[in-house]
Amino acid sequence: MSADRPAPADVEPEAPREFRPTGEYRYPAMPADDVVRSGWTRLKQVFVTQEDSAPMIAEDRLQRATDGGFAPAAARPACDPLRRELDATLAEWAASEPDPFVPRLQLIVLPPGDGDGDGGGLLAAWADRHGLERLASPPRDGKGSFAAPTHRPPDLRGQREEGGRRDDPLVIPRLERWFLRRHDGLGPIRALLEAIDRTDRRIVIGCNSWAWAFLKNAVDAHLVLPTGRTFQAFDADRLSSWFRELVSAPSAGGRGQDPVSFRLSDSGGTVLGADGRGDQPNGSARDYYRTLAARSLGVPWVAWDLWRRSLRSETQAAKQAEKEAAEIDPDADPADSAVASPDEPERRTLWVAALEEFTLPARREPDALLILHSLLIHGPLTEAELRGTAPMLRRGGTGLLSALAGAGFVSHLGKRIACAPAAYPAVRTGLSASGFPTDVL
Amino acid sequence: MDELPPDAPRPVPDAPVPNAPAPEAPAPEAPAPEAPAPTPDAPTSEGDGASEEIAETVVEGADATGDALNDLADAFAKAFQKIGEGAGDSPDSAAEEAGEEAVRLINDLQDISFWRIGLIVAGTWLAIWLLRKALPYLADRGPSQLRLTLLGAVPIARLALLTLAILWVGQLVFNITLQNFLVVAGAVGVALGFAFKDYASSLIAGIVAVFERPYRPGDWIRMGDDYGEVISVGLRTVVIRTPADDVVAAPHSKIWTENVANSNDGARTLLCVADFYLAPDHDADRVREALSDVALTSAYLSFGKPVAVMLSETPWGTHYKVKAYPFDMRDQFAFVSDLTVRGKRAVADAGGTEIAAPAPGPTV
Repeated sequence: MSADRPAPADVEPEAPREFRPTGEYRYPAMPADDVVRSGWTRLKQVFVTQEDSAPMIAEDRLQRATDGGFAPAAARPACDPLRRELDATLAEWAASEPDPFVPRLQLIVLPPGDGDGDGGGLLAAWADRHGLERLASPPRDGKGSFAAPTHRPPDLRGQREEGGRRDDPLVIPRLERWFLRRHDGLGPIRALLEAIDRTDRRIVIGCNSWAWAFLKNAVDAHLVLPTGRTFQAFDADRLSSWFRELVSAPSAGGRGQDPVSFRLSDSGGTVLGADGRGDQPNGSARDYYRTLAARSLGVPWVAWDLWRRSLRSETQAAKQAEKEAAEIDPDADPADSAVASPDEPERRTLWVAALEEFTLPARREPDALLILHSLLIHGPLTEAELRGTAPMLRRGGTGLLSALAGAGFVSHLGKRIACAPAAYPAVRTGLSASGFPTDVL
Repeated sequence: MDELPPDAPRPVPDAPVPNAPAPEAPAPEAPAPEAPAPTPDAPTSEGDGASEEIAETVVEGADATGDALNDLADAFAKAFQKIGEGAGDSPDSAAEEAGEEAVRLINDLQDISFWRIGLIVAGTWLAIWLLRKALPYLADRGPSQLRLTLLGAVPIARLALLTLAILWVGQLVFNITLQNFLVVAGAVGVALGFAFKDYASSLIAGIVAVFERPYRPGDWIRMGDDYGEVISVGLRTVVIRTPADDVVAAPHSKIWTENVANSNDGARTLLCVADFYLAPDHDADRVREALSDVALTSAYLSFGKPVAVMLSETPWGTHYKVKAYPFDMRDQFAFVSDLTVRGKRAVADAGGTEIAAPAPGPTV
């Protein structure tokens, strides 16, 4: 490591920004050339019809899906900036004594898909860190319904745990797990809202933004719960800061491994230096972050998933050919820094390719959108639960699920099926263009 | 007068000049009666030099005016002579020819540019054809919010193009004068009034329909016994596609005599109703709540619209109506089917029993 570069510890996290009320979310803007490119792609989709004999999944997508790229870490890392911001928003309120002049209820509304990095989700992880009691969602029977009749309001008084105080806030991390969009699936959420309304205990409620849009209409949840709050969108600067923070962290994916630098495959610009060193990106790298922020709608876990899917590594054959060329002509300028000089530690380069474009299956697109809409409202569902909430699956249509999985729109989390975070922006755009009710952040 | 130097004293016509003759009595030698020139020997109260300059100027002006009048008289004489020569010996025949020119309805054939008319007709037809293909195509594939706007633009654009083309061709073919216009209007009026009364009525109703918009492409309407989606609004007919995939063409003139029920009236959604008939002996509150949840949990539901369950007693049982809006009116039948399928299960879970009137037996 050269002395003129800042050490990893020099990466200072910026001051946490508090969550803001829903409706004030500012979606990051896209660079102008990307806007034109995106518009052109959509225009082509309008005019170019896929043949009926065309496969459900485009050939190039299959190739890309089997390629897989290179994943620096198996699981998505937790978003530390968000954790700090949630702390800044709630910690003081949670630590204070109950006050009749301070709101008793807090509602945190988040875009879907925040559960992978934090187990039970951002709010559940926050509750665990602060030792707060969590209310588990009602169990399901595995056949697409709730395990037991749940019209009885749950007990929100909680158990006094050792070291815990009676007036500690209760955390209900996932409101979307309290209902199913079936004719008998609204009982638990109604009972819960009734219990929340009756108790005087302080409660933090977490809810997915699509579920919140549904619950406001279906059970008038907004009459019981306060205005939701959500994080501020992650723009290019915040994303690059987070990524540098991730790479520079001792527990990053590169622990015990060679340093990795991330470079754009088209221009060679460095998006992220090894160990997260370097200043804020500029030029093409900054444009990349701006595009990533806009394409991810400012949602950090979506940005991470898109980023991870765009990483490519060189094949062994290419590396070997490069080494042989370097041996034959030592004066030759190596094409990139992937080949380390003998006096430097081995350094790997990961190439950042263009962000993936997601295209819904041309045939039966409305059915596909209904399935994805259901997954966004409920979060991950088992196939039986999904069958109970999406009418076209009741009439068959398992093939459609396979097509969606192959095209990267849905992913399997154990036995459950979820909308893939990287596909979320494309799904949201498709739903909005088709007139589906959408979320409000 | 404009040629006078700026510092020269200007004569004042109304000012009395001592010893000068009155304006009403010009001197006998004056060349033009309109210009009362002072006599050379008339003394003035100004100096002799100034009065002489004025007198000269006035005399020059009078000479010029006289010359101009003489030229004008010559020109008139020549013009009359030419007219006489052109008309031959009879001035009446010239007037008749002018009258014929005025009432001639159609331009001379050699003056009509047929290739231009062909181009206008072909261009208009092509433009209308393109509009009728392109706008519905874009409407179906573009954002849902723009669908009805794009579909509704087709008849308006077509009417505008047709009007433009007719005016253009008319100007090329007809000799348009007020007299001709009145003649043609009268003839067309008589023809339409007798021979093409119904056709004309439909055409006029079609124009009214474009502006009053009792239906637009994309709307779901009921005209008489036909219910379906308006797929095109032509000049004479409105074409609807029924749920049974029949295409029905109804003349616009029906709007004069029949009610047109428009289910969505330009909106993207419409009210759907699912009916259930239950045996009277049941817990109505429970069934009503269950059916309400059926609508609230439908995948096709529009969130921003109300859901209502109404019931009424009838001689054969309790009639429940579940009323709700899908987010896209094209899903109305899937929505009603979804409500019906899940509603049956909900009714059974809530302890209700569906009933049916006995079907009439075969007549012997």
